[in-house]
Amino acid sequence: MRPFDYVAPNTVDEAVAILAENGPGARLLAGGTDYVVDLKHSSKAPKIVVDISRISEFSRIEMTDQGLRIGSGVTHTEIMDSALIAKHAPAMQEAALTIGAVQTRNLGTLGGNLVTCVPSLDSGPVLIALDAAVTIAGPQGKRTMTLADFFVGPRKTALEPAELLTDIVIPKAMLGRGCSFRKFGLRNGQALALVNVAASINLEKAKLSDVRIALGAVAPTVIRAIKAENLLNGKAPSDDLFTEAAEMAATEAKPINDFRASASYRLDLIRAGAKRVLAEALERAQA
Amino acid sequence: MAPKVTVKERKKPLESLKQADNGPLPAVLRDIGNGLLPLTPEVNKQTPAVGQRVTRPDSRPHVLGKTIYIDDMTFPNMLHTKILRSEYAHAKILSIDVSEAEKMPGVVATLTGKEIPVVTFGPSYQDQPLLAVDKVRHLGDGVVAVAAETEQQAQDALAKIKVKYEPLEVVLDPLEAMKDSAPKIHGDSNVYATKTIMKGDVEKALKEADHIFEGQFRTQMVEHVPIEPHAAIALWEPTGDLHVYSSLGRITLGRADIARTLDMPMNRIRVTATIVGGNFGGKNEITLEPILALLAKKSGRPVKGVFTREDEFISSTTRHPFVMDYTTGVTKDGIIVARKVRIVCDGGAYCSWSETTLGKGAILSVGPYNIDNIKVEASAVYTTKTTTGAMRGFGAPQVCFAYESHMDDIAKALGIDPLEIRLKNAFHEGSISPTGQVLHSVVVKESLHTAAEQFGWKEERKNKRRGRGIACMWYPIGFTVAANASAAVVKVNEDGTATVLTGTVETGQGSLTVLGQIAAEELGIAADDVKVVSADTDTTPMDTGAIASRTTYVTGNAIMLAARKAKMILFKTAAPMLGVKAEQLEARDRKIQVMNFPQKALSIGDVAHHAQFVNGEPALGSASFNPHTVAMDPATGQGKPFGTYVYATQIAEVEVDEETGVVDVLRIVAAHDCGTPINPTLVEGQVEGGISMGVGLALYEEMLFDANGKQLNPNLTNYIMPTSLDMPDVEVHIVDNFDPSGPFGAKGVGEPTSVPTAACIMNAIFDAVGVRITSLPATAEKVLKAIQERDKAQPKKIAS
Repeated sequence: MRPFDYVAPNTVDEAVAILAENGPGARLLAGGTDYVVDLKHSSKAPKIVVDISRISEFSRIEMTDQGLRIGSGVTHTEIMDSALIAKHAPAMQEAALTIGAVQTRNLGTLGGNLVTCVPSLDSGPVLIALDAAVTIAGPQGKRTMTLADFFVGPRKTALEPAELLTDIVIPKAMLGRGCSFRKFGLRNGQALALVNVAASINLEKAKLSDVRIALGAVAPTVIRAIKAENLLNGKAPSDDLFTEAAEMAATEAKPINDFRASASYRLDLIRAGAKRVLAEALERAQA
Repeated sequence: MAPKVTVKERKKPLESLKQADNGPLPAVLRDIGNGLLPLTPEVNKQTPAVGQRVTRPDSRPHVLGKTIYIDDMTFPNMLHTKILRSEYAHAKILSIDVSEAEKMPGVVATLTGKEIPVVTFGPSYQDQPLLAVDKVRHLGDGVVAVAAETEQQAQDALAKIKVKYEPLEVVLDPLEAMKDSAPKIHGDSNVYATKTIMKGDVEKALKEADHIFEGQFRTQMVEHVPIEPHAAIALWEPTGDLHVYSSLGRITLGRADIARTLDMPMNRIRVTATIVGGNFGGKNEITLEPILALLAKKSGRPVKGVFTREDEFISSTTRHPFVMDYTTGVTKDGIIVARKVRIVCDGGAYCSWSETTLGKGAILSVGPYNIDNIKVEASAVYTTKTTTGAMRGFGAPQVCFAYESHMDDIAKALGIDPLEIRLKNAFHEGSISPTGQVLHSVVVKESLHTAAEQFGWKEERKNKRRGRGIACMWYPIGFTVAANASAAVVKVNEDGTATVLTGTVETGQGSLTVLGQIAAEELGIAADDVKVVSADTDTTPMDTGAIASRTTYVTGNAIMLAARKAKMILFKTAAPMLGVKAEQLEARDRKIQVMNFPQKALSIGDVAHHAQFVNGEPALGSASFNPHTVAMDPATGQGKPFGTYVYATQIAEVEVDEETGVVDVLRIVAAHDCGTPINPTLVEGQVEGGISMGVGLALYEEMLFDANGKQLNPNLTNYIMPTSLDMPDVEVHIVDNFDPSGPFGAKGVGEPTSVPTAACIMNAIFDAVGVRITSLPATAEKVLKAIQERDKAQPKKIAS
């Protein structure tokens, strides 16, 4: 590791000002579970590390008029422990539980996980399935967009220079929906996802509506399986229908082929996983 | 035959143990009762220290983070070292230019292989360079070492070193490497060691057998992954003596290798081992030590070197991949009459412990079974891959996976229960091993019975989706034929406590606790009365070290004998004081007392004090022990390669997800023989740890290489080891046994615990979903592929 300057602002405005002043040489540090590893191995030191873990508004979880608002600095452990999240979006807790180990979850933040924007990030699929929006602060003030738009490409978000992610909002309409998540890795603990699948389901008069299926780690960013969703919407749920939708979802993914797993195995996992999350989301929607 | 050990029988010793704790000599602290006691086997009447669940003196500092490892140590003006490693898996070195690197900020010294007096080392053949001189043979070969003020400065300087290579063809598959056309890695042939074991007439017996079964099995390369990577510090004393602190598990041989490579007399070199943060066989050889010594010499400053995790993967030794072909002839009743085994061992770029691994693997490859006609042919082959060397089990997990998978294939074909076919063929007391050795303290059948009973093997299955698999094994204690002596010194202090000096190293297994218990037992004092001082070549006697599951058996015997000599001095001192002959005395309950007249006794402290201050003959003893072996005939392998063997059975219960191939190991019941368990808690710890390594070998771990011989996953993100969430429930049962050749009947347990795990898991997968995985690891993808092939094949069967 090489020497670098360090600053820990207490407010969003201060943080934005520091980022604006230092340009691309400034790097954000929240939980550090990703960045500190980078820092240790990178060949160049950053000009300045901006530690945003002391910005108190980042650690709030609250119900607002828009929906459930979760600060970007909320840790995965805090997600797992939150009664509000347990009540309104329990699938987020299932996803949080699959991230790293206990220590990683104690330090790592939701915002940090999302801004890495790696295809395999575990927080993404449930939030996409729940149509989450994000708020961004920058020199021009705040702006919001959907999380789907926030994810631009592998390790590339919609954040402009000197901007930072402040919170994540799950819209009111999505709260309490039947939602389910599965992660498939090479082992149970501390695994990188080979495939992540989430689904949320709305039931109208025993027919499926507004089904959202999100696939992680099988495309440049978390994607929706739109064709599979269309196949399901307006139909009465059944095992056969879910199997068919899972097959369809697999055709929408473009997984990589590498030493961890072949593309065809990842497709097998989508087929198995999509079927399971749909069945579980349905069960929860009916409950 | 009924099992010798049952839970029921074990209740009785618990009572006597409790009483032992209530008596005059609490061998264990009273407040550690943790409900684990029922497994303790019967404590011999004269053994208040042996058999006790003594708490490790180092457990508290470990848990509090107070244990000092090498990387915690620092010396004034200490430099840090980084090593530039090869760019190619196989290449000639044309030139090395360090001039630019030496100008880098903070750089104090550099070192190339040419500057090392004797650059090569190795336990069997000295074919491995500390730093490559004219050729690199795998990507982990070091080429230049740099010492700088900080690690980062040393790392930055590596980029400025200019090495010109002439790349050579790589060879990664051992079967390819055996071909005449393969590029040669050392000399004229890539086959550098062979072993043959012949017994009976295998061809004739195969002809006469009712059925012949064949199978090929392959295993992968895996890493030890100790939590503490290899680390050392070298400094020169003002007297000109060299002092090396090292994470080596074997300091006696470490010092010999350092002396040899530096061309220095041994008395000028002091090797001190700190507590080692995990060894598993990977810290049995020197790595950094002579390099640091020379950098320290050049710079005139202490020099530290610590491997990164990547160094650990690409440069330290690993487990040998084996390719194993089995041909077995059986009668229609399932009696094995002949077995032919061909083993090709991927020996990596250098021999290291391959020769030994090959020998052990070959001897054990037949399995713990009575087979009259045997032929084993085994070869170790160079490849341009990471060096394969010593690793927990020395070839045994590989061959056990093969012979036990093969066994279940035979059982299935003949319609015999897997437990029954093993009982029909298993060794018994007095069986003759494949090398013609008469076996003693054989409890493989007892381990089968114990595991089966505890598992509920014969009970009706409650859950039909679950598969179960059994595997048994045998494993030797100590080196294959080669002398592996331990020496020890035991001093009885003037207050009746004792100090033991041993050259072995605590590598995490709790050996020092066990050795202290052995000394306490012999001296009739409590385990807490003994302090064990270890691992300093200047102050402790020679020891072959923490390898080959030998510490309890070999070092334990040496300590027992040394303690006995010290005790004889106490007896000689006490005899006139008590008015009896020395032969009438015994040491018990911190007393020297007259046998059968415990009221006639002196405290051991008074006797020791008298010996030192009145008689002028302090109570100390030294002794050594080396297991008795007989060399093996090179043509037939016949001989007595080991002093003794242990036996074990493990049974796994698994669930296999047929849509994803994911194998969930739910439960492993393990029944292990270790002779007398000196400390049952530590035996259980070994079994649990060994099983976690076995689960990794079975399902997850594999070092992967690209076509150029570069490792694809030299990190803990992509090298998949089981976590606590991947571990099954483990039930440990210690099989009652006593080996008269061991200290208080003890043998050993370190390595064998990881031997049958992969085999029993593969058999459980076979039982659950009917697919036979013949190459490890059984990744979910591999299992799913096998299930898909099974489903493709099944309709055909129905049609025919």
